[in-house]
This record gives sequence, C-alpha cells and structure tokens, in this order.
Amino acid sequence: MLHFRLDQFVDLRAGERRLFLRIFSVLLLTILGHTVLETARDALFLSQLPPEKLTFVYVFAALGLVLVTPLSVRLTRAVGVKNAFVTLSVATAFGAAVFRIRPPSPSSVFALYVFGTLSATVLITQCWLLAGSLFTAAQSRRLSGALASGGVLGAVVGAGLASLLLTVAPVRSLLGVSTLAYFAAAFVATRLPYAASAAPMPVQKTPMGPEWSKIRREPFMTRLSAIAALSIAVSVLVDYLYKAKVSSVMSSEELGPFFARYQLVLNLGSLFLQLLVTGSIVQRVGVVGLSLTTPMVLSIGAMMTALLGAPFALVVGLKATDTALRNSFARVAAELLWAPVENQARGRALVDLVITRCTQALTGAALLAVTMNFTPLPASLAGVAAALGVLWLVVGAGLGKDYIALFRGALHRGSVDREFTRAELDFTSMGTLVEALARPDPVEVLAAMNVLAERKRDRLIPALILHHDDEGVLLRALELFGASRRQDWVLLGERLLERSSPAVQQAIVRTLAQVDAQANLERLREHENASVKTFALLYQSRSAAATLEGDPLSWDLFKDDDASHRLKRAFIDGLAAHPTPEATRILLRFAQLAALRSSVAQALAVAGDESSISFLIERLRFADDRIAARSGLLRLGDPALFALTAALKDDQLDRRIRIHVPRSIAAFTSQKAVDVLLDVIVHDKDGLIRYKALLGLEQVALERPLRIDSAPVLAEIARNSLEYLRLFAVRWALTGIVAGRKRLEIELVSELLDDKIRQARERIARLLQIMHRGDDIQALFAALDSSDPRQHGRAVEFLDALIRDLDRRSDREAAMLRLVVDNLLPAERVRRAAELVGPFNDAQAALRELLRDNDAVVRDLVSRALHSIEVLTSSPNHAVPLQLESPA
Amino acid sequence: MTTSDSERLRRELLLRSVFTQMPPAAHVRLVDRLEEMNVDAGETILEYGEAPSHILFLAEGKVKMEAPAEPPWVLTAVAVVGVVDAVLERPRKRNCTTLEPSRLLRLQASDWFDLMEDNAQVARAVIKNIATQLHRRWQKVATRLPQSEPPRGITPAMPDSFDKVLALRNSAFVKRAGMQAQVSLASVAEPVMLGAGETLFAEGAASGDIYVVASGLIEFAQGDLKVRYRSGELVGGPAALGQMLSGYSARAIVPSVALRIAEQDFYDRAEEHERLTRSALAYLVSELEPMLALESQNEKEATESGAPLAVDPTA
Repeated sequence: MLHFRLDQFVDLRAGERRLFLRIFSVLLLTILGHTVLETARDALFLSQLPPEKLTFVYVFAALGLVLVTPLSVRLTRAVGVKNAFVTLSVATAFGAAVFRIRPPSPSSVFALYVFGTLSATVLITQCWLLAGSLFTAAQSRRLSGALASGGVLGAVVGAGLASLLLTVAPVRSLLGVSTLAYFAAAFVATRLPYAASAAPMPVQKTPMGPEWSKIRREPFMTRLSAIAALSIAVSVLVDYLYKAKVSSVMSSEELGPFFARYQLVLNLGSLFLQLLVTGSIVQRVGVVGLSLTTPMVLSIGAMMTALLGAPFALVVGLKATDTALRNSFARVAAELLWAPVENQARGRALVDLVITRCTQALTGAALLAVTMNFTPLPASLAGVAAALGVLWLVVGAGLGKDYIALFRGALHRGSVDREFTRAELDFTSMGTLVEALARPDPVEVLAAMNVLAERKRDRLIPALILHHDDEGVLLRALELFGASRRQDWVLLGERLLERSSPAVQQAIVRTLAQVDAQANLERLREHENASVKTFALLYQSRSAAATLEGDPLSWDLFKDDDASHRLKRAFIDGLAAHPTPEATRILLRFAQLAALRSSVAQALAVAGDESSISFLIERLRFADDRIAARSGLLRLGDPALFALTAALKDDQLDRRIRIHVPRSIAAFTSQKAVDVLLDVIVHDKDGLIRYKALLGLEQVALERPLRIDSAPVLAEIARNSLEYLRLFAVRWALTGIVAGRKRLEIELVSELLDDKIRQARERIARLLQIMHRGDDIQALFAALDSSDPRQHGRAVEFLDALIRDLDRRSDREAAMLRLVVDNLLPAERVRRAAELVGPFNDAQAALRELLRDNDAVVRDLVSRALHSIEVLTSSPNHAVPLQLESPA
Repeated sequence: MTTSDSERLRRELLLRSVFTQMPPAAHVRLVDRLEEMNVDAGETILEYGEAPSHILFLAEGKVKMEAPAEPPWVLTAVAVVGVVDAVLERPRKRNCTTLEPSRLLRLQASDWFDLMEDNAQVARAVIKNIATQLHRRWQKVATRLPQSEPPRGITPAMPDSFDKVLALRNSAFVKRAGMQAQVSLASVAEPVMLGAGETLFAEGAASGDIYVVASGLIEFAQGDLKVRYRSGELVGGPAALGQMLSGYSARAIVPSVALRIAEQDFYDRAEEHERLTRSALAYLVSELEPMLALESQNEKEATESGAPLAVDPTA
C-alpha cells in the first residue's frame, strides 16, 4: 500500500525505495527538530529582548558560522559525511537539552538564538550533503523535490506539535521535543549506507586559495557565490522586517502560539508546493528556470510590500514566501545546480557557509549601523530587499550557459583535435626530423619527409636523399623537389638516371621538366633509354606550348608500351603534374581503357575541367578511387556540387554510386552542402543514403562553423527516438515468448532488433553532435553506458541541459530523449513509451509492425518468425500463452 | 614549438612509420591520445588475464610475450603489442616482459577502434595490411593447417535470403558483425551453385569479389598448395581480404554453394555497420594465432633457437 502511494508522488526506480525513505526520514526529523527549536527560540528571544538586538544575533551567528564551518568541513573530511552528520545531530540534541534545563534570561535566549541558527544551518547543509553523496545527479533531479518535501513535512509536524504543546506547556518544553527529534535523526542516519563519495578522506590542510581562485576563474562558481550572497542578504532583511513587525504588534504571551501557528500554516503551504508543484516545475522549466523562481517571486512580493507601506499581512506573507521558497524551490535548485560541480563538498563549504555567512554578518552589521542611528521604515527595508531580489534575478538569469559548460567539463574526455596541426618547427624538432631522414628504414624516412613537407620545410630535405636505396623514398623526394622548384638535386638526379628503375627514371625526367632544367632535358633527348628519350621530348614540346592533338591511344609515343600500360600511366602522371588545355580530353580518352581508369581518376584529382565531372562521380563507386574523385570534384567547385546534388536526386543512378554522394557533398563544407545534406536526411527514402548524409553533416559541423538549421535536426532526433522506442517495445514483446521454446527464427529477429536499437541510438548521438559541435557527444553517450551511476547521471543531466538549451520548443524531444537514455527497467520504458508508440498486445502484433520494413531480407526473417510463432500456438502441447509476459 | 611539441613530433613519426597508409589527420588525432612509458628491462608490461584495454607501440627496445606451454614471441621496435587480444576482446593470453630498457607508447584500444570506425579509409587500409601480412605467413604454413572434410549426405539447394543470413551468421569473418550487418550483406550476396569439380574461379580470373562457402566443400589452390574450405569459411582466408585471390584458383570438391560478395559492397556495408570492420579484424587476428604457433614450431624444429617473430599486424 505504501509502495502504491509513494509511487504516486515519487519517480522511484528499482533499488531506490529504501534509501529514499531513510534519507527522507533523516531530513524530516532534522527539520522537525529545527522548527520546534526555532519556534521556542523566536518566542523566547522577542519576549526577553527588543527586535533591534536581532542585528547582533545576525552578526554573531554569522561569525559563529565562519568559525564553525572549518570545523564542520574538517569533521566531514575526517569521518565522512554520514558520521559527521550523526556527530553534529547528537551534539545539537545535547545543546538543546542544556537550554531546556537552564531558565531563560537575556543572555541565554541570545545564546539560544545563535545556537539555533548555527546548528540548523550546519545540520541542514550536512543533511543535503549526505543526500547528495548517496544520489547521482539524475537521481537528485528526479528525487530532490520529493526529498525536500520530507523537510517540509518535518516542519509541518514540528509546527503542529509546537502548537499543540503550547496549549498545555510552556515555551521551553519545545526544546525537549527538539532534543528528541535530533537524536532520532542521528539514529536513522546511522542506518544509511556508505557511499564512496561520502567516505572519510585523509584529514589534510586544505588551503582556501585554490577554491577562491576557482570561484574567480569559473563563471558558474562566481554566479553561484553571488546568488548565495544575495539570497542570504534578502533573507536577513525580510527576517528582520518580519520580526520587528511581529514584535511591534504582539504581546510577549502571544508570541509563542503565533510563531507555532505561523510555522504550521507556512509549512502546510510549503508541503503543498513540494508535493504538487516543485516536481512538475523542475521537469517543466528546467534547473535554471527553477532557480529563478524564488528571486522573481520575492522581488515582486518585496516591491508590493514597499509600495503599500509594509502592512502586517504583507510582511508576514513576504516572510512566509521567503521561508517556503527557500526550503522548496531554492533548495532543490541549489542541489541541482551543484550537481555537476566536482568536489562539491569543498567548494560548497566555501560558498554556502563562508560567503553566505560573511554576507549575513555584513548585512547584520549594516542593519545594526542603521538601527543605532534611527529606526528604519519597514517600507524602506522592503524596498532594499526588492532591489537585492532583482539583482539576484539578473545574476541567476546567466546561469544556463555556465551550467552546461560545467557539465561539459565534468564529462569531457579530452577534445578531439580534428584539425591538422602545422606548428612551426623548433631546433630540437628539426634535429629529430633530420636524424629520421638518415635512418635506413624507408617508412621512417618517408614519415620525416612528409612531416617536413606538411610544415612547409621540405627544403630541409637534403639532395643526398637521392642516394637512398628505396624506390618509394626516391619517388617522394623527387615529387617534393619538383614542387619546390629547387635545382640542387639535378646533378645527383642525372647520375641516378643511369641506375634506377623505370618509375624513378620517369620521375626524374618529369621533375627536371618541373624545375625547368631545359639543358638537362635537351641532353636526355639523346639518351639511350627509349622511355627517357620519349619523355624528355614530350616535356620539352609541352614547354614550348605545342598542342597535343588527336587520339592519345593511337599516338606513336605509346606504340612500344607494355601490357600494363606503363608508359601511358607515366604520361598520365606527367599530364597531371603539368596540365595542358587538352588535358581533360586526353585523360578521359585514356579512361576508355578500364585498366587506366584509376590512374585517370588520380590525375583528375589535380587537373582537368568540368567535363570530367560525370567521370569523377562514376568513380565514387570504387573505394580505391573515391578519395581522388572527391578531391577532383571539390576542386571543380560549384558545378561539381550542382552535379552531385542532381545525382543524389537521380533514382535511376546506380545505388552503389549514390550512397557515396552525400559524403562527397560534405567534402565541400559549404552552406549549400549543409542545406543539401539536411534535405537528404529529412526526405530521402533510402536509409543508407540518409545515414551517409548524417555522417557527412556531422563532419561538416565539426570542421566549419556553418549555420545548421536546428528544426530538421530536432525533428530527426524525435524520429529516431520514436524509432528506438518502437523497436525497444517490439523487442520486449518478443522477450516474452522465449521461455522454454527457443526458435532460431525468433532468435534471429531478436538479434536484428538489438542491432537496430543500437543503430537508432547511435544516430541520435550523431544528430546531437551536429547540434553541439563543441562537445564530445561520443564521450557523453559512452558515459550513458557507464556502470558508474554518477557518470551515467551526469550524462543524463547534461543531455537534458543540452537539448533544453537549444530551443524552448524542444521539451517533447527532451522528454523522448530522456526516455531513451534514462536507466529505466525495460518494462517501465515500454510502459512509458506506449504513450508515444502505442502498446503491443502480443508478440505477433509486434512482429507485424516489422513486416513494413523496406528491406526484403528483414521482411523475410520476420515472416519466418511469425510463422514459427503460429506453429507454436497451434501445437496441441502449447500450454503457455504467447501474450506479452513479464520476463524475470 | 615547445619541448612537448617535439615529443609530439617524435610520436607522429612513429605512427607514420607503423601506419603508413593512414591519413595525416588520423596520425594527429592519435598523437594526442598516446601515453609514454619508459620501462626498465625485466618489467612486466602486460599481464596474462587482464582486460585488453590498451595496445602498446614499441618505439625502442625489445619485449617478449609468453604463455604457459607456448613458444615465446620476441618483438623488437617498431612493433604493435597486445593488439590481438584487444581485437578479439578477450583477456590477455600472454604476459609481456621487456628484455631490455624500452620506450613504449600506450593507446586506449577504444580510441584505436573509434578511429577506424570514424574513418573508412583507415579501416580498409588496416584490414588490407593485416590480410596481406597474414597471407604471407599463411603461404608458409597453409599445408600444415587443419583441412576441412567434405560434409556427408547434404545436397545443397539454391539458398534463399534466410539461408544466406544463416551462412553469413556462421562465417567467422562476419560472425561478430551483428545481425543487421549480416542481413545487409545477405542482401548483396549472390549465390553461386557449383557441381562437384566445377570451377568457382580460375587462376588470374578472380577480381574484386570475396566468397563465403554456404554449403559443400571448396578447394583453393596455387600449384601444389591446396586448402579446402567448408560451410561458413571464407575462400582463401586472409588472401580474400588482401585482394590476392587472383593468384589462385578455386573449385568445388562436392556439390557446393558459395556466396559472392563484391569487395566494394563489403566496404560500403562496413561504413554503415562499423562492427563489420571489427569482425573482419577479429577474424584475421584469430587466424594469426595458429599460424604463429606453427611458425614457432617450424623455427624450433629447424634451429631450436626460437628466432624472433615480429607481430606487426598493421605494417
């Protein structure tokens, strides 16, 4: 029964119930004790001392907290969060007992006030730290609202008890109840498990310096600190205003019952907020929206109070609003805002306690200074509170971006440097490279040459490299020499001509032509080697701007060519290096020989005009030529992009070519390319082509800061999320029919579904990557699969923050994504998904859904699985119903 | 450039030496993810039974990989260490100990696989490189590898799509690719029915296709070298993935069915289903181990000296 009721209010998952109830009880008892003590404290103080003395209390309490804070932090580090809480609860219980025993006097009520403030602040903070250490960020987000209601419930019970007790007993008796509540909280806390993050840490001196610098350096921390300071300043002002007003209109006998009733009404309102409003508001407005609610309501309330002259009802209302929101929205918002902060205990101790208390002391001191000179007008105090509230609102409004940045940092796995680094080379690096050039291993030499070339330092490659034995090294060196136009290698090159392979000989001739070594080419026209002689002639005639006419396949030049077309290939290479106006025509003519098409594609990567576009698109089909074809198309610019776009829309084009068009379009990394790819992702019927367009768009998004319309990407995220949930539901339905009747057909379909589910999730990740280019979404999704619940929780929160940040219209997508990535039990995910994809009554219905798949092989597998189920159901031995069952 | 930039450069040179066909941007991406290890002689750097979370590049020095009752493998720089277990996703099968002071670079296996999955060109180059090197080893030991026997009493029929999926599911080289990839390959696999003695491809005639035996028994031959493949096996083994079938012929020993998959189709599918690449790699490295065992045995028999065997599946 309890389970049923609890589930109505709290989104509990498997294994969370017991832990939740215990933390809930600890919070309830702690706040109960505090509420009862606070009622006694306020009534006793105002019955013994004038309200102006409150200003001293604020200062003393603040200074006391500054002293107590380091002790509390040290205690936490020494014994762990849990043991620290237990110790402090027991100490508070003893303190309350002492005040219960001693008769009230001005000094004792003053001390009681300070003690009550110190103990409540330290204990409640400690209590939330304890909850934070036991829950992940995602759990906190889900459970914080309900958990906070434990505190409000404690306050309601405490206020109710105080009201009842004060009808039969004096105010001091409340301190006995408070003692018992604190003892009970300590006892329940001992029953909580240890969390790794809540365990003791070696006690060590922790200088505040790094934390201060973190607050100054990290915008999010700076804002959290400013919010904490502004929040406490508003609270002190409102509290003073409220107590001064109450003291001025009530007798000392009326104070106790009034404070008890006030607490009761206030906390009932808070409980209502907590149970019925906070949770849904957190889900609806997000963390940042929630954190802005309190300053917005308080600013409006304080402004109205100031404008209307601070009437009693409004002042009490303002104080009630401050207390209620502080214990509900503000508390939950603070928990969520701190969730992504690493080592939050240390930073939080500084912000929540030191900064907050210093501000409290300063505000108290300011009030003291004012009240020593004159009695401030309540309306003026309300006006100041309103101004501070507005400031708080302004600071809070900028939290969103920093909140995401912090989650980003928490999940960051090291950025991927996708840009090719071309840093300058220093002396040491050059030494390393020159040393590598002298090594015997050709791959090391090649690597060093390439590094030098890519960094525009290829002139450092010595001409002596031509003494190397390896052909690959020689060819690459000649290629680089030719490009650099240097001539210091020419002599060595000519000598090498006499003892090298045909490939190297052709390379030497070509390079001589490149560096315009006409005298050397002239000499080579008389060379004994026919190939060398022919190429020398060819390059010389080209230098003389002679045109190359006719069909190259019938040229005399190639009449002695061998079966592997060695001469023609060399000519194609030469033409690519020194293109003539007829180069495209000649190359495309060579391409009529199948054996030369790859060479032509390589040549057209660097030479040729628009008439080569069709050929290059055709070559996309072949993996070996694809890179060259893409380079050629890219070089040709818009006409090529236009042709590729047309090819993509051409249903008659061979699918083996079409599937490579999206990535080729992506290579253009232009706005036009982005628009085409987005259109393909949304409208193309072919799943593989859509997927390739997605990969291409992701590549463009990561390489160039081009505008990418978020609407279609969001729509695709929604579509893939729905697909994921649909497949998941089908898979789950199939799980129900396996027991004892394992059939191959069903097994195959189940495996297929598992893969499709994985694929849908991967596509969601890629779409998110397109929208959030600066983040490593792969790392984020890896964290979603993490077995560490904290890592998983952070990832879920970050994902939610990312999608909310993008667009206010994305609530639906965010909800679907959360359903995809959250760590739900399968049955629970299916139950929730049913609202979106509809329920499947049985396995057959689930499989029939799959019969609509575009892939014939998939349809065949599914129909066999369906048949298999029908055979099973018609079997006389069939005893177990095939309807959706709940597997163990 | 700073000192660390010089170090980056050294690493880049090493990577370029090991992964010769990899695009420069891929080298740069990997450089950032390498961790340097300087290890004294006699230290254990990989332990039997541990998770294969990373691979090591041996930049300088010499290491020995040992397993109980197995001949040791001695690797010298430059070599890749621990890649077999990482690809097969199994606990380490050998301890690795340095024989002299060595410098190694450590890379998370997941980063390595991410790179291959992100870049089809890299994946293809790696598969071809490993296949080519394996094929060289295979040629030395092929006749000593276990030979398949003809299946009994099964008359093959023209397979439908379901049969093709089943055949691919049983095939070692796509077994780990997942059902979706297998279904995708089945849709482009063309069945070839062969009677006993019929030729699947003649020497010099095979080009750009790979063949999986769906049923029956197929003999793969070059001169005196003859190896038989049965249902689920890739005709030619590593040679098929290294584009070296043209040097061989293949014929059916008994009535058989082979599935012909164009190499282009295979890599096109691998771009969509990245686990195909992983599966092909796993197949290749699983083929490597029995060959290394046979090679070690050969060496032992010939010289009793245990000559070094450099395992560099990416060179």
